[in-house]
Amino acid sequence: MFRKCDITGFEVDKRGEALIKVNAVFAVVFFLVAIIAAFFLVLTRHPTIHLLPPHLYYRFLTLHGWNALLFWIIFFEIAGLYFGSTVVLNSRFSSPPLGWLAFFLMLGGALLINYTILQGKADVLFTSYPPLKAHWLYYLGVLLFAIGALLGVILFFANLVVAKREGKWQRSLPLFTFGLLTAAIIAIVTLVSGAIIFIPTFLWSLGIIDKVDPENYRIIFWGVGHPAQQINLAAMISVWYLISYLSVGGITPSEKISRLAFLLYILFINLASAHHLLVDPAVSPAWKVFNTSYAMYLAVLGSMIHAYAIPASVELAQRKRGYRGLFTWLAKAPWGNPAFSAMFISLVGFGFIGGVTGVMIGKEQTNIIHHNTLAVPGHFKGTVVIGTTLAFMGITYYLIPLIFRRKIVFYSLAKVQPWLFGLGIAMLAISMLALGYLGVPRRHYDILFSNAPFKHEFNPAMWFFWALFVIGGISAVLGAILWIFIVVLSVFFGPKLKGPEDMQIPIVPPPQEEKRNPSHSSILSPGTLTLIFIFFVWFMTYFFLNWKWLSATWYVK
Amino acid sequence: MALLPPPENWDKEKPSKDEKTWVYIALFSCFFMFFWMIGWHIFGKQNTSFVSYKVNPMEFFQLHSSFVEKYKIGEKNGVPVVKPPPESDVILLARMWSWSPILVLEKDKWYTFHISSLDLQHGFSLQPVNMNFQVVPGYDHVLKFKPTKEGEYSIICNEFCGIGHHLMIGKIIVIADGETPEKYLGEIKTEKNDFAEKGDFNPSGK
Amino acid sequence: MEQEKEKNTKASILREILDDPMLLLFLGVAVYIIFYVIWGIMEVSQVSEMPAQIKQIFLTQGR
Repeated sequence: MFRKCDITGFEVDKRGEALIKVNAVFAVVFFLVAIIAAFFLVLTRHPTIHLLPPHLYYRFLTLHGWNALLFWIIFFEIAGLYFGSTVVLNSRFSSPPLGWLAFFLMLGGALLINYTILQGKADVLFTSYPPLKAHWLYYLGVLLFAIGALLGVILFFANLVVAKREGKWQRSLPLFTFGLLTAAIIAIVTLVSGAIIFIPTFLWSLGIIDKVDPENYRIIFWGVGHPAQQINLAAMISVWYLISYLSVGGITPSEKISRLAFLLYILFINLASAHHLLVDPAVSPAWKVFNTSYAMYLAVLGSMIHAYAIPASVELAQRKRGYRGLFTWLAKAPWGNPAFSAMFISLVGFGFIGGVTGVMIGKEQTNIIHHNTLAVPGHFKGTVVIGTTLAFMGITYYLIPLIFRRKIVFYSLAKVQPWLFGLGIAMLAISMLALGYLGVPRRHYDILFSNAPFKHEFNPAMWFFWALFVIGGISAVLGAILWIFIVVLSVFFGPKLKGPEDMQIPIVPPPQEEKRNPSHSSILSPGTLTLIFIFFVWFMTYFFLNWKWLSATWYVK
Repeated sequence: MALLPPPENWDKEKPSKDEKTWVYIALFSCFFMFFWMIGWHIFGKQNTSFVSYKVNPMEFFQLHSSFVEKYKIGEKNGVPVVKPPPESDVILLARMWSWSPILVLEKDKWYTFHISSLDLQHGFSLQPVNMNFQVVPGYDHVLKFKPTKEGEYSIICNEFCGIGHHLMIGKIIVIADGETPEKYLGEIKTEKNDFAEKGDFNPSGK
Repeated sequence: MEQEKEKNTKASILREILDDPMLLLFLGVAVYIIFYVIWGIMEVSQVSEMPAQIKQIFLTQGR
C-alpha cells in the first residue's frame, strides 16, 4: 500500500496518490478551458476589437467564471487536501472508494455545468442572480459539484482522524497541514451554503417552488462565492509556506503567531461575504460594517501577519547561511527555481495589488465607487490569479517529480513562465482597476454604447488602460498556455524519474548552524521589516486616496 | 519548517521583536480602519442608506407611471423627461433594458430616490461621478442624493440582465440656477411636437 | 526546575483550541452562521412594506 519516497523520505499511500494525481490532472484540464475562454474574453472586452458577438461574450464569461474560479481551483485544492492529510503525515487514505465517488461527483457536476453553458441554456453568468433563470440541469450540476467537493473535504477530516488514531501525528499538525485545515473549514462553510441556496434554486428552476427571494439569494450565494475564494487564500498561503520550506529551507519565524493568523481566518474571514452586499437594499449599515470588516478587520490582521511571516521565513534561513546585508538574502535567493519565483511574485502581487484593493473595495462607503465596476474583477485577478493560481503553478513544479515521478520537460522555459504569467496578470489587474476607477462597468459588452439610445463617453485616459489590458491579458494567456504545455508534456510524456539524482528542481534543507557569529540584534529580519514598511506606506496611501475620491462624488445617505 | 511537526513547545516560544512590532502596528491599523468607517457615517457625506422597503414590482411600475404623468416635461428618444420639484421623492424604474424616467434635478438640492426593478436585478451606475448601487426587484432602494455639480450624467446598468444588458443606459440632468435641461439634452420633444410628428406620417394631414 | 518543566508542557488555552480541528470547524461555522447568515436573513425578513403615505406622494395629482 505504501511506497517510501526516495527523495523526501515520506511514506506515500499509493491509493491516495492516485486520487491526488487524478484531481490535479482534471484541475489542469478545466484550467485550459478557462484560459481558452479568457483569450476570447480579453479580445472581446476591448471596446473596439469585439472578437465575439454579445451572446457568446456573456456565454464565455459564464464559462470562464466557473472553470477558473471553481473547477480549476477546487480540483487542485482537493488534490492538495489529500496530499496534506496523507503524504505529509505519512498516513493512509481513509476511504479511497469515497475519494473516487467524490471525484466523479465533482467531474459530473463540472461537465454538466459546462455542457449547459455551451448549449446556451445557462447564460446567467457565474452569479445567476434570480429572477434570472438557467436550465435546471445547470443547478443540478452545481449541486453535484458541491456535494462531491463536500465529500472530498470531509475525507480530509477523516484522514486527519485516522492519522491521529494511528499515531501519525500527536498534538499539533505541521503548519502546512494546519493551513490546509483552515482551507477545509472555510470549504465546509462554502459548500454548506451552496447546498442551502442551490437546492431551492434548483426546485424553482423545475417549477416546484415559484419564487426565490433575490435578496436572500444574494446573502447565501455570496456565502458560497466569496468564501470559495477564501479557501484559495488559505490554500495559497499554505503553499507559500511550503514553497519557502522546500526551496530555501524556510524557517517560520513564530509558529504561534502564524497559527494565530490562521485562527483569525477560521473565525472571521467568511463574514467578508458581505463585500458583495454593501450597496444593496434590505441589509442595514450596521450589518454591513460589522461583516464587511471581518469583525474589526481581524482577518486582515491575519493576512498582514502572513505577509510578514513568509518573506521572514526566507530571510531567516538565508541569514543563517551567512547572507548579512539588508537585502542580500533576497538577491541571493534561488530565483532560477520556478517555484520560488512563482511564490515571490505571487506574494508581492497578492499583497500590493489584490490585498490592498480588496480592503478598499470592501469598505462600506468606498464600495460605492467600486461596486460592479471593472475594478472588482481587477481586484480578484490580483488575488485569485496572481496569488492562488500562480502559487499553485509554482508548487506544481515540485509535484511533477515528487508525485508524478517525472522529469520536467523544457525546464529552462519553466524558469521564465512565472514571470510571463505573473507580470501579464499584474498588468491586466492594474489596468482593470484603473478602468474601474474611471467607472467602466464589469460584465459589459459595449461601453461605447454603439446601438444604445443614449451615449456615454468615459474619460479618454481609458484607451491607454485598454491597451495595457490587452497586452497584459495576452501575456498572461501565453504564460498559462506555456505552463499547461510543460505540465502536460512532463506528466504524460516526460522521462521517468529514477531517483534523487534526476531532480531538476532543488529541495534545500534548512540551514543547520549559523555560519558566522550569530547576530546579537533583537531584529531578526530587518529586510522583511523594511519591505513590509514599504507595503504599509502604499496601503495607507491607497486608503486615503480612496476616501478622497469618494468625497468628490454627490452626497448620498 | 512548514512541512514538519512543530517543535514541542511552540506555544511557549517568544516571537521576535520585529514580528511583534509589526503585529501591533497591523492590529492598530485594523482598528483604525474599522472606526474610520463608523466615523464616516457621522462626518462623511457619502453613506449607504438605512431605509429600504418591500414593494411589488407591478405596483412600483404603477407608482412610476403616476409619478411620470405628474411631472413630465417631454420626451427624449422615447424616454419621458421628468422635472420633479426639489427636495421631493422621485422614482427611478429599471427594466430590461432601460431606465425611466430621465430626471431633471437642481444642483445642491436633496432628492429622495426610490429605485427598483420591474424584472431582473440591475446595477445603478451613475457616471462620470462613478457611484454604484444594486437594484433588486421587489425591494425599494431608498437613497437620498444631493447632486453637487451641474451637468449631464449617465446611468449605466452594471449588473448583467440578459442579452441586451449593454444597451441599457439612462440619463440624469442636473441644472444650475437659471439653466434649462435643453442645455444638456438638446431639443426635448414635448407633447405638441409629438402630435405634429405623428401627423407627418399621414399624407392627407397638414 | 521541575515545576518549570511542568508549566512548559501544560498547553495554553490557545494551543488547546489550535490543536483541535473539530473545535475549530465548529467555531468557524458558528461565527459565520450567527453574524452573517442569521443576522442578515433576519434583517431581510424585517424589511417592511412601502408605507401608504409614500405611495400616496406619487399617486396624488399635483402638490
